Amino acid sequence: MPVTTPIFSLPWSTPAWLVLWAAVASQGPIDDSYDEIRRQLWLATDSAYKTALDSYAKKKAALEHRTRQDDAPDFSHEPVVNLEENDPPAAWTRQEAEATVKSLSAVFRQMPGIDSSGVRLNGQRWVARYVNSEGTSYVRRGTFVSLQVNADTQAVDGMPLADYDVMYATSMAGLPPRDEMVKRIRALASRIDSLRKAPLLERYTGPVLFEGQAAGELFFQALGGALTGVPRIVVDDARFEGVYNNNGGLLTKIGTRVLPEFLSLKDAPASRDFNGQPLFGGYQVDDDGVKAGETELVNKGILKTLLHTRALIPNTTHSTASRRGPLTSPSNLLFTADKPLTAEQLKAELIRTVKQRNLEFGVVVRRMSNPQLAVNLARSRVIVFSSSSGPGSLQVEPLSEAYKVFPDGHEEPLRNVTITGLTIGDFRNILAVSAPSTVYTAPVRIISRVPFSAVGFVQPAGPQLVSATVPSMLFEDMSLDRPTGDIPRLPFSTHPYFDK
Amino acid sequence: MRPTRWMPLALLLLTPAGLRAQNVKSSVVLDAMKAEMARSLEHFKKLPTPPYFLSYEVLETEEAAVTGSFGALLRSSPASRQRILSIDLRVGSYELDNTHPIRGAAQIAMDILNTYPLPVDDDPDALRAMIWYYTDQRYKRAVEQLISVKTNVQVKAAETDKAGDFSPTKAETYSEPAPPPLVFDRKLWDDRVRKYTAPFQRFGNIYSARASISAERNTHWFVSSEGASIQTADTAYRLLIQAFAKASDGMELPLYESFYSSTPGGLPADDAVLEKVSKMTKSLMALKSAPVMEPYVGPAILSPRSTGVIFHEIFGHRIEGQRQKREGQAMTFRDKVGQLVLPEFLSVYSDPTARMYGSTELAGYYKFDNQGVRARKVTVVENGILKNFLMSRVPIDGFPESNGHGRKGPFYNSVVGRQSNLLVVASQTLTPEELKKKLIEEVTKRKLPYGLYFEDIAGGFTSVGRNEPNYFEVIPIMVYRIYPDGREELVRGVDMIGTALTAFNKILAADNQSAAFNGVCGAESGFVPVSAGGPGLLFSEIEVQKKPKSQELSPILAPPFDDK
Repeated sequence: MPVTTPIFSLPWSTPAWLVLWAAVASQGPIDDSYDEIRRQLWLATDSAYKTALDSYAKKKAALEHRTRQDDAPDFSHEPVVNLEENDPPAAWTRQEAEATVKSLSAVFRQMPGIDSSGVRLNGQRWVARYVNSEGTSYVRRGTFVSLQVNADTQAVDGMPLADYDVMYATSMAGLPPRDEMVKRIRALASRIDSLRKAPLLERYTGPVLFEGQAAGELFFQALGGALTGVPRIVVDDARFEGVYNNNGGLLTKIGTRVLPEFLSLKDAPASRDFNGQPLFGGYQVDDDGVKAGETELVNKGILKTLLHTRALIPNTTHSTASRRGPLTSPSNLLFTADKPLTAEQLKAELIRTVKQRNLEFGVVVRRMSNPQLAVNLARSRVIVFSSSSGPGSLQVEPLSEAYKVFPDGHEEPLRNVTITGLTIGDFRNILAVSAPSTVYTAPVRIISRVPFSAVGFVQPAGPQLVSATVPSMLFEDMSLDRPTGDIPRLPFSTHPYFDK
Repeated sequence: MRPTRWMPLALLLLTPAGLRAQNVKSSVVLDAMKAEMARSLEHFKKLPTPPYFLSYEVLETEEAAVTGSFGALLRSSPASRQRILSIDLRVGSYELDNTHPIRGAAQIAMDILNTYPLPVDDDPDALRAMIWYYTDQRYKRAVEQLISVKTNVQVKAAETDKAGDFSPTKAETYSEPAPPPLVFDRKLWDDRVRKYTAPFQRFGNIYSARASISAERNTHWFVSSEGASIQTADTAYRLLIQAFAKASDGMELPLYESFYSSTPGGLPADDAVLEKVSKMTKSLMALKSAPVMEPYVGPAILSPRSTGVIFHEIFGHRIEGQRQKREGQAMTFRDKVGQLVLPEFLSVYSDPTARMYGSTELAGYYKFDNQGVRARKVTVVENGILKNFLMSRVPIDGFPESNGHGRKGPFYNSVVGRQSNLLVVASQTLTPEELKKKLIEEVTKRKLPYGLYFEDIAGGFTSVGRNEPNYFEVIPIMVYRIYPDGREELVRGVDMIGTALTAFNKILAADNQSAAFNGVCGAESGFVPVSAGGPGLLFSEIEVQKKPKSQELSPILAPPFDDK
């Protein structure tokens, strides 16, 4: 925009010094330089102290003329913890990683139905060190590897179709064997390809069964982030109250029913695995140095508390060890179901409900997109917007694998299905669930941020993932629709590789 | 990465360029670009709105960088490589096409920042698949844009400039060998940035001190539907040292030293760098106790380096071709061709083919611009008279062709006329002593307490649109008061401000020195490396205003090593 862009020239990366003062606290040396670490801590401490004095003064001034209803203490007392974890072995090598992504992405050379694809491997090795004035200290270490495969194409009418598969492990060796990964990529590609000619769903309201991954993802998007609570901030200018304290979420729902009475839920950061399957959301102590335990969140449908850090929420006395970086986050969410059905029984229950309500068919959902993992699936997200929803409803990602289920039990694929008008209340009306048997791991979007008690805490220690053992869930009523946005045209020419 | 592995590569540099084998791998990219272009054009023919022009540009960059702070390593990573594709796809005609600015609508960021990653492996199938995928998206967008353009032209007032949207150019064929391998001895570099920043440790009131060394190895491929086929290569090595101290009133006092060379050997040796570091620490301590300068207007001398920066800002940006075309632009010089715009003793050249200026290597050097046009020296001002503009392939009235100044930064898609090496030459000069004498004469004549000397400048910015005043601001870092008795006094806390046309009328004389400033210039087509140089200049009037100041006081506790 030549009209409004000021033109400027600065020597190589000079603007850096404009932010240096602010960045001093966040970037330490990678050398074990005692003097430089001390120097940076000195400046960061000074800055944190001045910030703290300033906000403390503002807070006291604001409270001079107000009566506070939220009387939760600002900071909890926690036992002193000292932890030092061992250095894990190297988790990956560059050569190994490059060879893996090359050979896996070559699988798409046999998939003429896919327009574009990508395989992305991330490896990290991290160490987090912490000390506080109460005597708590930790050194936490870990390694982590994630492999994501993206694929996209267009349906016969031009509507974008895109999906991904993702695998997590603590090392390259922990990823599935190569031939299983190839099998999964083939399954991903053929799933998308087979949807190209699948019909669209015209407005549907009725019972919907969410199985496996789809149940986990739906729960993460609707309730995952909402299971966290942050204290009300004292805002010195009351006009901005709503801006800062807009994340009450489920705080007012504590003590009421949020799930059916046959479901209970706990957050268990100390758990490492579930029936032999690894959980990735856990830790021994959280980023505040609070020992991980177990928090009962929902007991027989009733919401008991919300996850919080040492910044307490009303009616709590201790942290739930839930700080991860700047966020309060769930770790490992473990469901228990009282009267679980088998997969077959659930489907039968879906069909029974369909018949009872004289519907032509019901819907089963097997995959749902994750907002953070779908970021790279640019084409579908930019062009086709999901349908509008009613007031108070949740915006959730489109469903990437769904089927019509007919009374005789046969299934027909559907494509580009979106959920409309979903509310947290819909989870109270779950008709039946299976026993939680598989672990689902994914990033969960959390909007509310913990108020900063100090400078820092910007980077969480380790990957910001949540694992959950989620049952398949049969919803009594849900509204589904096709996307309403404009549809791009098909490519003007064929893919060059398959044009031979 | 084991450093020993890189040693033989460093030795290879000593072989004369002509003996180096041509990199066979590189042509894989060019061949894939050509093949996919031919196939696309064949398919486009069948469509109702086929493109009249298509070009692909691929930039491969291999880079490595290390940063140190106060004697410790802050960042260090192995060399990494990436390839970026830019597509220029035009529907319509040379006279009116989809890139025509739409008046009354904000430009969509996606149309400006629209480049695509390509595989770094020389795999023609993978390369072509991505080129196809993105060409398809660009084509659809171009057709959409053309419809908006045609409507906009009909419903808006006639435009001042009648030249078209794009100019034909000679289809160049050129190929040079792949650039020499990146010289990157990580361990050695790690040690160097530690060594360069360690001396700052002794000063508790220097709050930031960083040194970065970076290396870049670029290969450029360009093909167009007009038949151009270009492969060029270059390398760039940079060293930047920056530090800031705080005065007792909280004012932050930054200083920096930067070095650029196309070869690793062109960067200064350790001794020379450490000497600069020592000078920096002395300057920082002097600045800390220097008096704060008040707003002032009066005569001033700009050092040769400072002249480069101020000409880049107040003059260079106003002679970029598209600034005489777009309706929102101030068009300062549109109707001034053939007229006196600067004092008669000054000439200005933009010369991307110049490698050196005195002993300084110039960062604004290139062989072809981003539209496949061969670089050439352009005489912008001769003896004060405006002769020419910096032209991309966007024509303007009276200047129908590109003169090799169509440039853009990585990740940007649109190309506009930009500066390269802007060199100011004076035909009448004085010695620096005579220039200072002349300054003092001015000061005395006008009964002012002092004049100013701008020794070093960090950068600047300017506005060239019509919706805001055409001001400029230049950020000096070392400024001295010069008193009538010849005494010089370091001051702090001022920025140089003004408006362009007024400033040109205030140039009184030039000295016989010369120096160039290497920097990065940011504008609507992204960040591009540029240089600017010239002699020291005496201005009859320069205005300065107070610098924005940090409100943070110095730390409460003394630095930790004071406790030992």
